[in-house]
Amino acid sequence: MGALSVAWARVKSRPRLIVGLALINLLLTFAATRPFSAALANLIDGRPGASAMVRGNDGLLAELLSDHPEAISAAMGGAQAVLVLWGLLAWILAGGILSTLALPAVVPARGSLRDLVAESAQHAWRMIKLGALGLTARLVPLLLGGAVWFSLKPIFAHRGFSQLATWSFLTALVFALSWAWATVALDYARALALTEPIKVHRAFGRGIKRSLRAPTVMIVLFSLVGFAAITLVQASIAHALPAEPAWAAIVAFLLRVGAALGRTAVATTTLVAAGIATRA
Amino acid sequence: MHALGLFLAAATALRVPGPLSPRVANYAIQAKLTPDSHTVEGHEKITWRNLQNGPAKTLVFHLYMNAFKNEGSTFYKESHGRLRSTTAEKHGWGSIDVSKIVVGGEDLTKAWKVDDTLASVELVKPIPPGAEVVIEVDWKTVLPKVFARAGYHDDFFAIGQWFPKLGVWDCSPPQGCRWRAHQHHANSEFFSDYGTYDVDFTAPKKFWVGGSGVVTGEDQKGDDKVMHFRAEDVHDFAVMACPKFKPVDEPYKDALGEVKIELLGIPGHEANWPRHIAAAKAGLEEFGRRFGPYPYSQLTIIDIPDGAEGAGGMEYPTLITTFDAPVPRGIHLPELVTIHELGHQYFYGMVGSDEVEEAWMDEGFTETLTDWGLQHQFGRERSDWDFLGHHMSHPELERLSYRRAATWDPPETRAFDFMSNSSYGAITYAKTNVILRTLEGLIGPDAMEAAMRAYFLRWRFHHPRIDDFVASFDQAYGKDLTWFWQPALRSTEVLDYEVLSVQNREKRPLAGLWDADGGARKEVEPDEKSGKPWSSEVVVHRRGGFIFPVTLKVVFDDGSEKRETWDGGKDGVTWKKFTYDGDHKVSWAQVDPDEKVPLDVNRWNDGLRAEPDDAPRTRVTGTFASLVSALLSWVAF
Repeated sequence: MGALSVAWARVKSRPRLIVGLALINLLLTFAATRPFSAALANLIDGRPGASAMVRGNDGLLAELLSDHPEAISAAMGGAQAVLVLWGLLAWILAGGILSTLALPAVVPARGSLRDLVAESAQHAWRMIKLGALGLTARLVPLLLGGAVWFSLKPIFAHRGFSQLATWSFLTALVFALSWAWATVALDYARALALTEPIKVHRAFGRGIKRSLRAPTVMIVLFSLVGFAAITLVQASIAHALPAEPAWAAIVAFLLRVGAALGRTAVATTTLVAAGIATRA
Repeated sequence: MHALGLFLAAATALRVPGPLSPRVANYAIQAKLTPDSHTVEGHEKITWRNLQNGPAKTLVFHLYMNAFKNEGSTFYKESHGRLRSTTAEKHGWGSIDVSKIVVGGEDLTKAWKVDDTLASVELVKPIPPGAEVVIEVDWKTVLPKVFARAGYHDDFFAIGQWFPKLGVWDCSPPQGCRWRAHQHHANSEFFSDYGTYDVDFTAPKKFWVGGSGVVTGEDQKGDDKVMHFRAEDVHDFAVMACPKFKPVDEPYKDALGEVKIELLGIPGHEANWPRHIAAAKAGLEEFGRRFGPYPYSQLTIIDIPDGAEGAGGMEYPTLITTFDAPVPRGIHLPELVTIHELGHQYFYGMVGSDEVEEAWMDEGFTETLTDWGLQHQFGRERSDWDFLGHHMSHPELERLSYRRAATWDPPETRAFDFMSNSSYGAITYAKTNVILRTLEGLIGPDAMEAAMRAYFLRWRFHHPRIDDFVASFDQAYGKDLTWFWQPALRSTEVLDYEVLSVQNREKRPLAGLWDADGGARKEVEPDEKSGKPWSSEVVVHRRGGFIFPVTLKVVFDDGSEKRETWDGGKDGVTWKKFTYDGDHKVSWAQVDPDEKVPLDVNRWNDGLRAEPDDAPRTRVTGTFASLVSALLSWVAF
């Protein structure tokens, strides 16, 4: 717990960092939704049927999507663009966050944005190379998830719905855990790439190796449980909100902001904890 | 265990005094299943009666199993070895071969002519009207690997369309005397005459055997057992055999007494067994109320094993096969399939319309019964699913299927003449259901129920055609509905009404110079206001060629409403304008506000707001935004 608790304390001392990262998340989200929103405006703003649709009438939803697949394309296009952009930006920012929050033995009481940006820029190319190399680690969750799915098939296939749900859940769990593990392993690799004069691919290898030791399990569980809990709470409350009143839209927005802040704090703490752990 | 079940089995096939049908073709079959070679060898004795007014000079038989003989069959050429979502397996061929046929004591084997899935034999002496003849046939069926209703999979045998079956001899106008028997096409099903079936079916002892009708006895014969079945006033007979079957017996009670529901389940599928049984009971209750009690003593439900899905979702007289789907209770797929196949006992089973020449009259009517059955069990709005705040009604699901094929083929198209399998499915099943539901919305559920019941009671155990249905319905309803039947059944005209515009103008005096009394002239300024501020206009437009009366709901900004009706443009004008002068402007307007016209192909253009409202869009994009934000956090921060 040492690395995690130190990381949490350091992240808490940088509220503006968390707010800034969450704000970028929300701005990119807003940008991603614009094409979809514009497509929908023409289609549903003038139609009373839209009210029935958001109250759960799936017939109207199916008809809309069947007649206007371009709306889905707009949504997918927007989402894909921001995912790629934020993924790339996050690789670069990780270098700055590790340099200013994780790697120093003692961090100043108030850090500066300028230091963060400077450190990010200084190490950007190494972080990008490592991020690209790290994509190979993302294959592991896919392979493990697939292996679990097929290995459980003899037990769960062709049974009832609860068996199917259990099977799917176990597969998703293995996928999620291994994804979180790959993230932590890459965070280790990033920290090593910043502190040791080694090539990127060696840092990657050492990061993987480092991830087989403590406190990886705790950091992985913190990352996954934190993400899942925040997302589930947000989704549950949002689902319970009525479809149309203005106040419900405001509450949904506030929930989204809160969830973004929470998830950003978890992700940043995970990164910083991994960085601290490499120094132990 | 089977002997015990036998002891308790119903002794008679009918719950009501028979005969219920003309009993044209009566079969006594002895057959034996050899699982290792997946063959059935049999001997049948058919007592056939010529109840038509013309002599029969030939006999025509269906040899449906030859559809699976090779890729040259009509069925294979049209289906490319695929039905619904199942595909034929290599080396899984099937066939049926007759080794001997004796008609009225004459051996006519040499005169037996086979053409794909039809066979004919020229008679030495024609069978005159009113006469009866005994026909004996020896045959051997090789069951295919199941992908299209019948066949085998491992140790499961779906033995349907397995014996040489006579076609229907029909002398009704305008075509005159002919055998109504077509090749088995990819899109067609089956058609034969009513009668009785006494079937002695031999199978290895380890097999549990289910069949149409009721079990009347069982004998042991070495390593085999012989199951004796009897079915009355049916036009087909099927057998299902599997050592894994586990019987679940549930009685259904109604005013006539009891129907034995026997589900033959596959271990592992237990979660859905209660759903199938509950759906069967709901269907028996609803269809019994609408059309009269189910007259047979037993309903057998076959739970299909995994890998044999091609045999699922199929109807035979008093025996149905259903699907096991691992879906939560809120998704009513198991119930949908069971109720649909049960519905076929009424339309296909008791009303024996021609599934080949008029498929809409059995599949479409049965889809409507499915709709009514699901509505009875779950309510209309949530009849297909009700899950995590989402819902779908069956008419809505049917509408979605129909609308993509709306202009392809009319329902009266013969099954094998449809443009494609997609068109066949969408039109015969979905469009027919939507047509009948639209009519129900127009004339009211009570009148619909009465007219459908009248048709059923008039034509049960006969073979009605489209004109018979239309005449019966109109007579029972008391009005000529040709204006509806013509576009609905015999054309591809589309029904589509829209609210084209909603406009509100502030009412004010007309500006300009106006002559007043006494020769004075007054100037009215453009911005002067009058007592009543709003003049509103709503235009309804008919986009399609199908003319149908519509209801319009107009909602004002104070929440008040007005309802209007329009005949839909019978005079050839495709639009109608509704105007309102009042204190309040129109907020929005909607045609078919009660969703009684599922035949309308576009639900979205049914309504229009005077001013856009982005609240629903905000909700939708908000949900999408939450998903994107979570994904961004998952890959980064």
